[in-house]
Amino acid sequence: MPHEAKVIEWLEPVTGDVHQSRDELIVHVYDELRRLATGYLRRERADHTLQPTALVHEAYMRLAAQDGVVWRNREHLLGVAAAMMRRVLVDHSRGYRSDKRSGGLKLPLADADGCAEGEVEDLVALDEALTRLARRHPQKSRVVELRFFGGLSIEETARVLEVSDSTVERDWKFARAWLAREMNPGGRYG
Amino acid sequence: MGEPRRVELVEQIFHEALECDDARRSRFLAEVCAGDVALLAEVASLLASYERDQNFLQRPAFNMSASDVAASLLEEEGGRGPEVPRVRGFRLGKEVGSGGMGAVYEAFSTGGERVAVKLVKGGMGTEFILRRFERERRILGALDHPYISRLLDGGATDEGMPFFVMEYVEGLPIDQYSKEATLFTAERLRLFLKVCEAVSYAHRHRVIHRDLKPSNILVTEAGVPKLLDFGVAKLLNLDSTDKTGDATATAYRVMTPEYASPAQLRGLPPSEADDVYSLGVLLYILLTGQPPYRFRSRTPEEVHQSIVEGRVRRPSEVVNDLRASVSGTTDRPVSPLVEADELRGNLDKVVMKALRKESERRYVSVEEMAEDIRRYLSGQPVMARADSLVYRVARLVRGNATYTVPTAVVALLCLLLGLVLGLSGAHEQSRTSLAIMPFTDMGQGTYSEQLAEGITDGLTEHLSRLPQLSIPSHNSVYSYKGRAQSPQTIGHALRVETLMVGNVAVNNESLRVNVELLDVGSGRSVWTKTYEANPSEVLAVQRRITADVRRELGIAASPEEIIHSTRQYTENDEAYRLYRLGRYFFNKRLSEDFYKGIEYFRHAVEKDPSYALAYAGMADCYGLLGAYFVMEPHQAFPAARKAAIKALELDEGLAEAHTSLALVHWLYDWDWAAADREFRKAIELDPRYVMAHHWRGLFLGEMGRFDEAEAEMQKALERDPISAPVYADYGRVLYWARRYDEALEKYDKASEIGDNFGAMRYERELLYEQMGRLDLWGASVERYVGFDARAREAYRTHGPKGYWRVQYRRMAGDPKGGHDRAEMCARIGYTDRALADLAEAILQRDHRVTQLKVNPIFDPLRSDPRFAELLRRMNLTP
Repeated sequence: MPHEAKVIEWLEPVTGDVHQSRDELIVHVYDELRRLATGYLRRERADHTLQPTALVHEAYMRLAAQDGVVWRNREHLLGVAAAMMRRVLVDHSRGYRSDKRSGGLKLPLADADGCAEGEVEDLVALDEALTRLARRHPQKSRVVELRFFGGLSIEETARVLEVSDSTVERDWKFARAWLAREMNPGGRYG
Repeated sequence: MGEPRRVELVEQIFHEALECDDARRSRFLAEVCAGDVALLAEVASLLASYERDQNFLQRPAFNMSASDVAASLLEEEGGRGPEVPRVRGFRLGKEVGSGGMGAVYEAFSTGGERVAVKLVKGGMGTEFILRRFERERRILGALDHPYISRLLDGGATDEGMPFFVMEYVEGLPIDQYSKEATLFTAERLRLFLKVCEAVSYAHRHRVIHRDLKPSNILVTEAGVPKLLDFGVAKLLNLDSTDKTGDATATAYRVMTPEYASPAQLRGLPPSEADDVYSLGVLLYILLTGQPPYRFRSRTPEEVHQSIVEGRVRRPSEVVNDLRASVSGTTDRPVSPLVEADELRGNLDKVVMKALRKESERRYVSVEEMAEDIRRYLSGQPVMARADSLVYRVARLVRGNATYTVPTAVVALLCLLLGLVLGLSGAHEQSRTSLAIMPFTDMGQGTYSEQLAEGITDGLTEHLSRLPQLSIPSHNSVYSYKGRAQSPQTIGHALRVETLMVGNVAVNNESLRVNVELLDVGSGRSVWTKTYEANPSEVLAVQRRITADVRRELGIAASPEEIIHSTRQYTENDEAYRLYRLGRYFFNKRLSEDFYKGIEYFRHAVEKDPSYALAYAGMADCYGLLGAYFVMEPHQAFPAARKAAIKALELDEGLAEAHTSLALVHWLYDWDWAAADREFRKAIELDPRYVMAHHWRGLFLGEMGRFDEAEAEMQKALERDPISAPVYADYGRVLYWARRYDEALEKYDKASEIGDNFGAMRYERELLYEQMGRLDLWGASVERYVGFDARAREAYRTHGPKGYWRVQYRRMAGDPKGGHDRAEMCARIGYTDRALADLAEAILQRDHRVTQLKVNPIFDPLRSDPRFAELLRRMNLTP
């Protein structure tokens, strides 16, 4: 049922006696990431790099250890992880951009471990374009989030979104064309 | 061609063109686009972008994927895997279904019988949900029908959570079943009749299902449909044991938009007509393979607009088009077994009658609908008729909104007016709506009153960021502060379903916040909770309240939305407290309070130098100090600009800061393009930020773009229906548009809401002058200012001109008085002096000069070329 409302069940934390809500958990993950990010920056003044993978991973580890959370559904976890990766990366990219403007601290994400080197230079612009895409084609935008930011395969993406592989492939092609045009409108006809 | 279809068409052609080799592609495109140049350009530009860099985004942003993260995490947990709750007497297997609050497991009884067990999910045991759960159990227990899944048992888990046991249904959702079993039209209809039978049976037992959709109707291998999930079902004529029903329904509205009737979307009381409508949607899908409405996004506005206002295409048209567009090559959802010819006429009529927007014009019962289908199957004419001529004519008059067919034209017109009003009221209710009333201050701390207001505003701010919630903002709710009125009265005035009330007690050691949710319909309390914390933990308390309320109201939000809704912009409690105090004084909008606001914002950024919102607040205070002429514009606006730019450096995505900057571009730089660009940027970033709409509306009014200005004011009022400043400025825009009577109405509204906007004396006097109502004008001057002897004498002998001459002489030496004097001279008829005074006002950077283009007082000067020159100097077109 592709058109049916899907209550987005992201995480299903089943905790012992503490009834921690999903909201709190998600906010918690995000806050933890932000806190860690600041820590990383302070510690690594020498090269000013951020290691986003390590960051995401560490945040999850800490949370898992701390709350005794049981992830009930791997797909949910994947979805959240991809969304978080997008946020971490884009937020820091944004910080980098404004720092550059004010001549402050530099944060060359492109040099950080594992980041796509210079391929998509302007992650902030990509993020904005993706948000616009989401307004017209919410599912396609999720596909990009899962594939590009979450690094998931076509098959994994299909499982998270509960659609067929071929749907993901089509969406992925179309979304890339749409985003490429959106970010570089030079190719537009007429 | 409708927009959604075009989007799909573009996509389809794009994919088909990719399949073509280069040689064939351009021919294919030319053919398929058939002269539609825009379509061709759209597809071609997508193809060009696609080809330009085939590797675009192909390499993921991280080396490590979400999957790696997940794997190491799950491993870390010792591979415990999913945790299955324990229910005594049953062995639970895999989870087979899950909704917003409950989960369904496959299970086996000790006797080995295969059953389904439904449980409240971990962490979801709020009182609301438990009550609903209990109701579902009772409803299921009352129903015994071969096409409804049967209730077998119930109880509570060791943790005290309720559960119940149903017969296990193995089958496919009805739409999927029809497709896979390749049913012909007649077979689909017979299957559908069985569903009608079950729903009709439930209705006879006064149960409305309210969530009929394919996933809730499974069809077994033997072709037997089974109705599942009565989780949002309602008992009609509630008996005394179910007093909670109404409150629950309004505060916790769960539905699937594609299948929900217009009445359900508006939150009207449930009726059988809702199920008739959902069955109409179901039949539409069974026959065409697609739902009658498609939403590009799922924003409440779009869903509401489509369902309440949109037009449904007849099933035969849909099938016809699908066939024509793909000529059976791809796996389109439509079954090749349903022919357009079969649908045209009778079946179209049956479906369309079930889908009518007004429940009175649908089938009165499921049974009646079923009867019509049986007639069709036996070759008799159906009872459903296409809309009558009277109706269609009337519809043309009214556009797309619809109403009951009246018998007489007079009655029709009356009804029409009534319905327009009714509909606009209903529009506000399409989302879950909540008003957060001013919290009462119970403490003795120094700033406990401001803290109470700060918590109210903080919760408003946070909950407002959830798109599913509609919340009137500060100005609206604060008009009720200290007034003793019933929740119903307040709720209806604010057009909300639920009120939040609360109180705050703070002293040096502790902070206690009581929060309560009241259902407007019944006036009853539906939820209450007390939060205790250290006084320094205001932020954490707000966050907890936000999360709890969101959950209590049953609003599902994505992580992005949740993060956004609790985002604080500072982690420093003290900075936040100071920021709130700053906003408190800003909201009073009194000159001396702007200075206090600035002080607090300044202290806030001392505590947290990266606190962008506080800089934006500072900018707004300076901006209005300049606008209200309390501070020299050459001082106020540059200070405002500095603060706004600082805020943007810290957070480029802050709508508040773009709005602050827009104000400076508009009122000080007179750079209209830049002002509009910043306003639009702000609105794009956060369409829910009222002040951006409000100020842009006023700005557009000054530019003479009245239609757009009005649209912005209305957007501001949608979010903030009881705001005196918005009404006052809306009135100003109408005054500039020379729509004086309407302007007066808005001023009345602003006065009624009151506070600092009191009588709006000055604005009214301007209006009376332009309307030629000198009696009213004189009375107002008499009452609020009083005539002194000279002015009275001048007015008596020479009318208003005499009065203005006296005033003019009195203002002659005022260095800030350029604009005022110019207005007086224009009234008296001293053209030369008026123009000279205006030139002076421009030099003084009096922001009121920005109204030059639209200000009615200057009408006598407009034909003078020197006036046109002044307009040009300000980049305003005459």
